[in-house]
Amino acid sequence: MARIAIVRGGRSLERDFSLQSGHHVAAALRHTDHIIEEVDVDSDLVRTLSNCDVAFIALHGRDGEDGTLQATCEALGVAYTGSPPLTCRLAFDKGLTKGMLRRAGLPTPPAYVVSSDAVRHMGAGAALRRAADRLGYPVVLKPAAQGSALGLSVVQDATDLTAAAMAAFDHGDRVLIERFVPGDELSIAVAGPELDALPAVEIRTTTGVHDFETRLSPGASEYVCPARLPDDALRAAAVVAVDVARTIGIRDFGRVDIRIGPDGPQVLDIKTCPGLTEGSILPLAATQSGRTFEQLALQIVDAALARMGHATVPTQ
Amino acid sequence: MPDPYRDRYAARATGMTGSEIRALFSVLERPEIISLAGGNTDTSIVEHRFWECVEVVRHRHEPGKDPLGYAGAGGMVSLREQLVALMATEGIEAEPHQVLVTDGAQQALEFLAKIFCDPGDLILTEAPTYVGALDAFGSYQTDIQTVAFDEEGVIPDALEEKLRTVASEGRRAKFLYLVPTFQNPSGITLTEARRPRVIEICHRHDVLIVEDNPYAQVRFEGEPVSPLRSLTDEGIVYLGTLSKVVCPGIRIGWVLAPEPVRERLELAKGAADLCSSPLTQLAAAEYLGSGYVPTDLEIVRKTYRERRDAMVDALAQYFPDEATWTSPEGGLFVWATLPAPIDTKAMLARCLEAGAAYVPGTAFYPVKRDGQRSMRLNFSYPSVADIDEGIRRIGSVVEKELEFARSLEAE
Repeated sequence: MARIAIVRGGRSLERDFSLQSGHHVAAALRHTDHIIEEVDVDSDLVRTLSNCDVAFIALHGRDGEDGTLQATCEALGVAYTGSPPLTCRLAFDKGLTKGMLRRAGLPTPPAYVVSSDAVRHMGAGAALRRAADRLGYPVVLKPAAQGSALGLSVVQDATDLTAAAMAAFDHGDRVLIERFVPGDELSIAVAGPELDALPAVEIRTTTGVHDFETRLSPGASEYVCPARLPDDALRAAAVVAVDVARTIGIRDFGRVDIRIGPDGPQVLDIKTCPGLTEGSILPLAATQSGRTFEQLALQIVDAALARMGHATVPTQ
Repeated sequence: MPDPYRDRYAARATGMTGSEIRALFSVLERPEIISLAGGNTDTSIVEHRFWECVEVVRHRHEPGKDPLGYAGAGGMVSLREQLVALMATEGIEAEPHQVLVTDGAQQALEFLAKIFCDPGDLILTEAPTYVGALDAFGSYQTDIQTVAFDEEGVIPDALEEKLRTVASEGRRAKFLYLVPTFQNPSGITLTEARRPRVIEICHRHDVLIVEDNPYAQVRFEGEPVSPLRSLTDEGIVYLGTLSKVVCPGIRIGWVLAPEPVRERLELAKGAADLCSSPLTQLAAAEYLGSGYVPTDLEIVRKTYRERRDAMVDALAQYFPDEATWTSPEGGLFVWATLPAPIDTKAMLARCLEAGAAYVPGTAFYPVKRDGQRSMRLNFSYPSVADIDEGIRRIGSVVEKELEFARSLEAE
């Protein structure tokens, strides 16, 4: 029996998602003999964590996915679920992630990163326009470090570029401008010590863009599992997802978002703390693989507990 | 999200959309955020006396006034009498039997769409307009179109032209929805001079007017303007609420409508929830009958005036010169508009980081690309100190945004 603090809520616009994720995890683990407490991010958090055996991190966006909480847990000597700080930092920054993937020879659409400092002090607004021209419209603009597709726009031509850039910069200090890849969108969750791929989930949207608004609107997006795509495409995507997760250093569980473009799978995003709500992709994929969410949550907790005692030594 | 029930929903349920604003409201409960986003009144002003009224209702045992039983769908007579007396203070003549009590005026909006609108039917509104009306009308798959609006309210010539265009297309608007006094979100009041003209145009084109009047009693400056319903009782449905006069938590609103319309609305009310809560109806009647209203309203008006002053002073101090805002003589809201290329919906993320919140302007338009540079700011609920600090925080984000936009556009 362990004391588990489920950290959820937080300060980001993903707060509501996170509260739902935390609640779903808590509901699953309450069936076990562990002692469960749901906690929010506030100045008492460290004190609360000091009195628990493991922190289950169900905190999306800033603090929970950027490595802040993970690094704090390591400093504190408290076991925690999911990926270590460096992986979180890498995966939370889409620019760094792309660099890593390209270096490892993994497929991801070409993109450039422009920082707000460069715009302010180097006139890099012009670089953004040049990058869009070089990539060719339509382009995707999104904050380099943000979850749930906040501040994401698909820009069809140069007239909408400034507005889209402003919106993306409102959600982060660095913006990724990426070539738009048409095709079917898949999300592949990985879990377990070997980071096995769970069944792919196909994402269908009414608008063609899986942005924040679409994610919040009932019926605007549909998750289909098993995905209705050819087996060879799904197999190729699963291989890429597992390679990506291992390359980035995902631990316990995670999710890789992929679009099947004309040249095969292209990696769009990596989540170290994906949604864990009743309707989220990872629980859906777990169920499809024949596991209950309770089994998955327990597996994640057990892995974190097994690491306990080593957590005082930084893992990376 | 996977939804195993998705193939069972009615078409009207598929048009209901989520929004970033919904996500925003879960962040607002964080203590470090100063929220200028809500629409709440300061209930502490009426709290003590209202609970006294609840106690009176609790200990009184009169036939036909059981606070714990059911009541008629039309509303309890003692409350309807008080509502008629309240409307009389604004020059509206009515009889208690003409009044239908609803759960807030919001429920009346829902019923109006329900009894009048088939999918695709046309409703006209001001732009911007009350977001709750857009939600209620939108859920019946209506075609919501807007009429031009300026600092004096809806523009009669624009209304005339719109109605002509609609007629030339072989259509007729089911009704024109107006919040003529201290409009939500803009705070703008339709001027006394324009009111008869708006009524005349609607009568001539045979278009029903829905007058939603939640804020007129909260006038802290200037001369009262006659409600449209006090100028005519033909072709008009009047909506009132106690949310601002007493408190929103009791959920008491009402409709004053031509008899055939009232009858249909009462049937809709009965079908929806049988009756509004007798407990809150009786407590509200007791409160209105107790003579507390004039004194409490004076406190409300004085408090809100101080807060409105604090807000416009802070806007003058912290917002850029190119920004504009309304300075309403009553109500709950100021509407501020910022220079291009500010997008208030995107900027909200930065403002939340800075510890302040507002409602982005796009929420108040049927076409969500309108209102991108505007924001609704509430002054009735936050303290004077919070208003100043909240506007300061937003202003500093705006300044940085504009500076950044200039850098971004530089060649």
